[in-house]
Amino acid sequence: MNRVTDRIVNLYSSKNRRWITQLLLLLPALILMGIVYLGGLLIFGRYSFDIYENGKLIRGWEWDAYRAFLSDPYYWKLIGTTFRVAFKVTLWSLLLAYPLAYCIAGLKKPGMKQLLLLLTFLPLLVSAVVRSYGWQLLLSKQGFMNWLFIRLGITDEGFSMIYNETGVVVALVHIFLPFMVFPILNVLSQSDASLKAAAQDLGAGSWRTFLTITLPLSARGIASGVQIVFTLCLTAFTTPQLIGGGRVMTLPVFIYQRTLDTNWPMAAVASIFLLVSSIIVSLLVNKGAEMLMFRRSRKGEQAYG
Amino acid sequence: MVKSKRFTKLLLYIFAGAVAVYLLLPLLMILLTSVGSGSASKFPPEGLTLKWYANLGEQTQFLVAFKNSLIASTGAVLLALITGTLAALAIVHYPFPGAGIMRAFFVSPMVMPKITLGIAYLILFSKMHIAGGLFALILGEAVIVLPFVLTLVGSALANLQSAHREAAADLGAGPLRIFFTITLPQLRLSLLLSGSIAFVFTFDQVEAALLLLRQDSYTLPIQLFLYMEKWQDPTIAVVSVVLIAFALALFMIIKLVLRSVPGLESLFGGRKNKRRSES
Repeated sequence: MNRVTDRIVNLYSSKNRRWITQLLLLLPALILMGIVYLGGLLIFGRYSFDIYENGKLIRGWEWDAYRAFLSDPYYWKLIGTTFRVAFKVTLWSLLLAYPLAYCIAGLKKPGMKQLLLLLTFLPLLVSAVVRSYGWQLLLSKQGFMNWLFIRLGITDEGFSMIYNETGVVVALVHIFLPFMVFPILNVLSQSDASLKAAAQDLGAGSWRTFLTITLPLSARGIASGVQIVFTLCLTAFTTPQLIGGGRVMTLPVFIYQRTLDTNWPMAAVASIFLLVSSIIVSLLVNKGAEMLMFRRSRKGEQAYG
Repeated sequence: MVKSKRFTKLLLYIFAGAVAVYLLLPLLMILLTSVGSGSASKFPPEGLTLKWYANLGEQTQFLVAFKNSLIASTGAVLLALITGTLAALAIVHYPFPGAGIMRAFFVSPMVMPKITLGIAYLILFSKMHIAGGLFALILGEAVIVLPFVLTLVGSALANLQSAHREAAADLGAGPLRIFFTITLPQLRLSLLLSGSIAFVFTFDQVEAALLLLRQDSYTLPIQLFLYMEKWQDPTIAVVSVVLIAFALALFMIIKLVLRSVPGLESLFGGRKNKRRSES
């Protein structure tokens, strides 16, 4: 009995203590991540090699699902829609977010600043389902937008803005706009005001100052926002499903539908494609921003040490 | 020159105002619909009524779903806070070879498409015979919010001064005692912050829950999602208004607690920058 206790105490000697402490600290997270996350993904990945025929799953190690996914034009159309929507949403978010962030960063009155910040981030607290519902109300055939457009005489019988790509893009921009504002606002409020003042002292007009000083300095924030919004868009499910009403087929919607009819191999392959492409997009945006940053502001960085 | 500058500025304000309207419009529309009589998707509403609010009392499924959401989110957040804080402690205070890789692994659910995770959970938990219930959802969502805890608590841990801990150790306190009396109180804020971000995030989680849950354990977003796919009556608007009020209340509480803390924005920014430079 004593020897056993000695053993245990010895095991916890100062020499071994360090890695035992580490292991004990990491263990809960490792168990959770190992079983639920890694386990789930591995099993899911395994299903990508199965065969799906006439509504039945057949176990196997085949590349059928991969081959079908990459060779059938139908899937390329899906991929095209997904990327097109993500691209449009990112572009519109950037166009709306940059002036908004610029305005917030430039505000002197703390009250106004607080109010605009609150307005920008309030939607973030509201569920995506609720916000999609709001857009459904706004965009429907007899909804507010069409009422407004008819009143303004832009159209006679109203546009159809729901259950198509336009509606999905409008709603997604709303959902992801805060994610674009945040990083841009962050770099804009950190960037040094003396650089701007120096440029103006040297005779640059406000547009020139903006184009040569402010915009390049905020490249990092823009890249960060683009990266976040684009990848979130590629994988967005709730809004395309609800606003698209099954008629705007993006990859996540497609994956969901394949799961409902238990075509797990196809769902797995499409998911893997989605994951890989969002990682590639992230890396590309990062690389692009870095190149841009170094070319534009190496001198500035040297001056700041 | 001065005039044109002022003009540009005015344009900028108008633009920012327009974007703010765009951001608020859906929420206002829901509010209007919730008190309007007649069809939900028709504008303008025919009259004002509170009958949908009265009607809400009969829709017990939303109340049950709200309770399920609370249980699932609280469970997932607690699980993520405990496992995440311990792991962050191991990675930051007791660094070991491969700690960076371990960290990247723990943070990786962030980039994983949520719909992928949802399906992976469905298959895994079906095999483990726990799919359908809230327990499975708690496990799955804890994984999804673990990155928030790990990054926020991790960066707070890295910023802590070691002098306090060393002093305690010199005075004879063991590692456990140091953790509970020195480290944990200093982490209070980041625990609260990461916990609330994680809570808001899991409360809104559709993808992982949609496939995983059985009808009696539907969470609120799922109940709303499915209700919306079938009907679109103003009951949804009422539930949404209640949810918005709930979110606002939560926001105010968090804001009150955090009021004393300056530089909160840079904390957020720091997290995002950190993540980016690692990927």
